[in-house]
Amino acid sequence: MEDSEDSEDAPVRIDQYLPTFAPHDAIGNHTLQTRRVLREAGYKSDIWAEHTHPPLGREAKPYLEDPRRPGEDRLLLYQSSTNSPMAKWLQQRAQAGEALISHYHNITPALYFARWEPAIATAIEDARRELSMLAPHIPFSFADSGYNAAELVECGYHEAVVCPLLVDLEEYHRPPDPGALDRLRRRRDQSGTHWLFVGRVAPNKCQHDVIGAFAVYRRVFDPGARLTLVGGATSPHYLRALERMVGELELGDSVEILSGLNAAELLAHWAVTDVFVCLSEHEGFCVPIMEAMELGVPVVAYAAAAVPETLGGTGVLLDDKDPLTVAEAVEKVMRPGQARERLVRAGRERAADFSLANTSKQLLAGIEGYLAS
Amino acid sequence: MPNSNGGRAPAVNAPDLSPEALLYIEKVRQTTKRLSAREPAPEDLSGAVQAVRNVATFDVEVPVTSRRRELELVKTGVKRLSLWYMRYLAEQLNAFGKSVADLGDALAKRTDALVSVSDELSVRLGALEERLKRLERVPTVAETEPAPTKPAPARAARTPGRRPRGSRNNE
Repeated sequence: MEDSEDSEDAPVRIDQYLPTFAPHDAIGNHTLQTRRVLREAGYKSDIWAEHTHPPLGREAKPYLEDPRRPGEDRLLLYQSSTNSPMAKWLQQRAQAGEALISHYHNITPALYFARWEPAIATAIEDARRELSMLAPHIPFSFADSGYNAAELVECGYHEAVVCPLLVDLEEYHRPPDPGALDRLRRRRDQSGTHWLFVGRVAPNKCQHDVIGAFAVYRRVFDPGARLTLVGGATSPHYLRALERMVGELELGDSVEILSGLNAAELLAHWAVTDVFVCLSEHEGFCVPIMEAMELGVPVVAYAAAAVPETLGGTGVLLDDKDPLTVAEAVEKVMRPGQARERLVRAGRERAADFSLANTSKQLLAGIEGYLAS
Repeated sequence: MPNSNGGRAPAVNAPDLSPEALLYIEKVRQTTKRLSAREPAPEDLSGAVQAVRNVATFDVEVPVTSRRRELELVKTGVKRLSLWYMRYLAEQLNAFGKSVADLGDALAKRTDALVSVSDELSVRLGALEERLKRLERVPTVAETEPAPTKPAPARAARTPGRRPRGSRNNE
């Protein structure tokens, strides 16, 4: 763990707690960025986790080793998104008089996993119970979106301030993996429209709807189209069902489901993408939409949960995800002309709202507002 | 055109679709519907049966991917070694699952038919009750006696061939 003793004049220590600290993960990256913002503002700040994946081993310590610090002016910031014994531990700390705040990243409804992964559904129900259990002990909370904030208020939280995930958009302008880019460009020259969706393979993300809409698009508009789904499998059973669906709909190798890509390889896929299609039914924010907007890729999305808020009036928003409706929407987006250019321009402007400078300011203003209250 | 304000997409812009294309689109719709999350309402028997059918297929192709290469090799080895056994079990479980879902379907259809018959009987019973009430209603004095303000009409001549009730045919 990096030494945080260089900010000895800091008025208060703000430590972060999160159940799983993993690389290439939106919440993990957000936690690192939050620590940077806090340290730059003069606070002492460390990260405490339940599970820390090896590449980040030096960045966090096991939370059970966190000593009580009587007399120290300290704020505990919980990155809340899943179930963990850490919730009970934090509740006890709060009951003992330590100040606890949180940043809520949303919990997917159990309904989506009940059929595919019953164990995950049970864990989600536990997470929801923990969220409610902590409500009386958390006087102030951040939420990634207004949608998340409304959920918190419904759970009994006193105050929820919207602060999007801290993401360094400059990272998306690094050079893509040259080998992957070359291969994908060559393939693209021989194929049609390239669809992309990025997100974990999970039933709430509804990759099956994307495959369905893509199948219709190929049949009706563009037989040479390709679809790439990128994301690790949260539900292996759902992934198997998707693979079977690709076979049933006779899509052959026009659909690829990829996981384990590094950032440069993912950028190569973005570079050859014509349209980002998101038919997810539950998103607390949806970072890949922000990525698409930043990279100038038009977005066609289903209007659910926080998606309309993240898109902020840009992109093509659908209130119906019938495969033919989605295919038609993509077809319109693919027509060259001013409409497509407007979408791209509006998307880039919207992405600028989520620049690291903006979100860092929002985060700091929220914390300092709370401390001053 | 779908719009950025969440408006509904209106008319189909697709080129004229062949019957084969329409059939394919319908197949896609059914496939996506099958994979969609659905929470059957408490009394939705058909929905509950569909949920059983959705989970009644046991997959022996266990995922073996892992972040650690050596673990992936171990998983692959275990999968290959146990596949014959798992397949034997899965075939029986799949058959059992299919039978349970079929039973559910049959029960759902039977229940729907009974509900339909019951609804029809309720309607017919209601009509019969109404009719019975009408028939059983005893006429009041006011209904049987002519109104006093109106003069009684002159007695009509007897229609030939018709006799008043109770008359004897012995004239």
